[in-house]
Amino acid sequence: MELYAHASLLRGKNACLKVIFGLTVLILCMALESTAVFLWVTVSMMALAVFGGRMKLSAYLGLLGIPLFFILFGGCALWFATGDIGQTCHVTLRAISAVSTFYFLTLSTTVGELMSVLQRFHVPPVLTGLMYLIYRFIFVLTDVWQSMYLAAQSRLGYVDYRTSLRTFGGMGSNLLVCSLKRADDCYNAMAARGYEGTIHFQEPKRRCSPGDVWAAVCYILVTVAIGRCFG
Amino acid sequence: MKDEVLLGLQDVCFSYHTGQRALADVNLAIYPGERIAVLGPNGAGKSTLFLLMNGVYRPTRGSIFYKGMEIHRKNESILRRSVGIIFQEADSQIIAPCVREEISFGPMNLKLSPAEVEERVKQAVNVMNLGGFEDRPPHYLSGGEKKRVGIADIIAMEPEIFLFDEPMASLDPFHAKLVEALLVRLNGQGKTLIVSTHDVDFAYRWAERILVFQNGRLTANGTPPEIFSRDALCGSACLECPILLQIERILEKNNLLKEKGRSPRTVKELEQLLGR
Repeated sequence: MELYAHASLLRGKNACLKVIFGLTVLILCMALESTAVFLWVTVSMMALAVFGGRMKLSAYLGLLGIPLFFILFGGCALWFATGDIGQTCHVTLRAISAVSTFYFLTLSTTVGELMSVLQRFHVPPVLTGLMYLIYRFIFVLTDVWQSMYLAAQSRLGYVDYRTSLRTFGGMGSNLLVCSLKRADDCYNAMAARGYEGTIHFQEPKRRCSPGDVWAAVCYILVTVAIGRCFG
Repeated sequence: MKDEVLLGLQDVCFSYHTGQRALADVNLAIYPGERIAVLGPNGAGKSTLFLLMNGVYRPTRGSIFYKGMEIHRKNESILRRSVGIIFQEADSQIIAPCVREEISFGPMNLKLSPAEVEERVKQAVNVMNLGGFEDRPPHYLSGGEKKRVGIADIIAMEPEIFLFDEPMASLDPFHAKLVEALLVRLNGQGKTLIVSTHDVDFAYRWAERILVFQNGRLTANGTPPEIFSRDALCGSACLECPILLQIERILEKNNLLKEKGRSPRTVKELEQLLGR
């Protein structure tokens, strides 16, 4: 998702505006009761992410796959519990519209920019730093796992089911140790450059153009209008 | 002035929290503008030495001095500001989501103004030929490009001493030459450079002084011709004899050199010895 965020045409837009816009749309999704609003938000956010983000629809749907699975799974559970298909669809669509809004935000804004926006909103730097490091170390973990997987595969570590299980177990137990070492090296490198507990990157200057603000306001007004007309 | 010690280590010992001793009784003086190569087998303590020099590690015993001032817990940030490490593995060093932010990390920690940070980032990008890479995520760059980003990180902090931990490791010839040219440029600006390497040919032609580490101890400290003339030392430290030196010895043995004992450091110097 980081790659898409970097390649997005919307990346050059002001991060604060994107976050405020995203949060406002999210609040509208929670506050309004119209199914038409949920459909409008889902489709429009998908279009913004796909066309603005210069990504294929199949890639977007692929990213949406896991949260969509859990939403639909939850929807089925709700249906079994209530027996009301209308309510189930309503809740499921609301959840999908909220996820689409988040996806718009994450596919058009890098984590560094999100962090600087949170710092601007006076979220404690320790929290934002922690958030960033947790995010960063997910990639460290996946990198380590990938390297170990390739090394194991090249030595017939997955030649049959039993061997695969044994290899998986060995890699799993080793993953923590390897990742701790990588994290230690990373910390040393940060400390060597003066890291003292808070992470600060240079914030790129992204002007908030009046055109972008009007576009965001128009979208919100349209969403509210749809909510009133079809509510 | 070369007389003034820039960075000094006095009886420095370091052990990890597991009890494993990494360095013992290291006494060392680094002077301004020096080009120093650090040689030694794997596990000799070279990387640990660098982390001590930068202040990330604190010595278990002994003292570190910077410009005559003893470094304690309270003033170790002086070392972080004045001594920059370029790590062997660029992946360990890179943390930011894009190249520009990565290079800005160090200057931001120096509490510089945004304008100054931007200027330093721009300069570092230019020096390391990273124009066009500013907005790219560093994790998806090639090995050589990541290395350049790692070096730009430190250039932006403008330290007085640069510590390069095996800078040519895993680099293609193009990037290795780029790094070597950078070393020449930095030294030309008066920076002190300390390079840990296994490339004895590079150490022989580039360094003014060589430090040899074995089992956590500094076993030799001298000019390249002095170090490589000590066969017993080279044998125990697993140091190959530089090719130029080997050729010189063969030519001397066959009386093909007009002057003996000159220890040419480059092919050109050897050619001049043959020409006379």
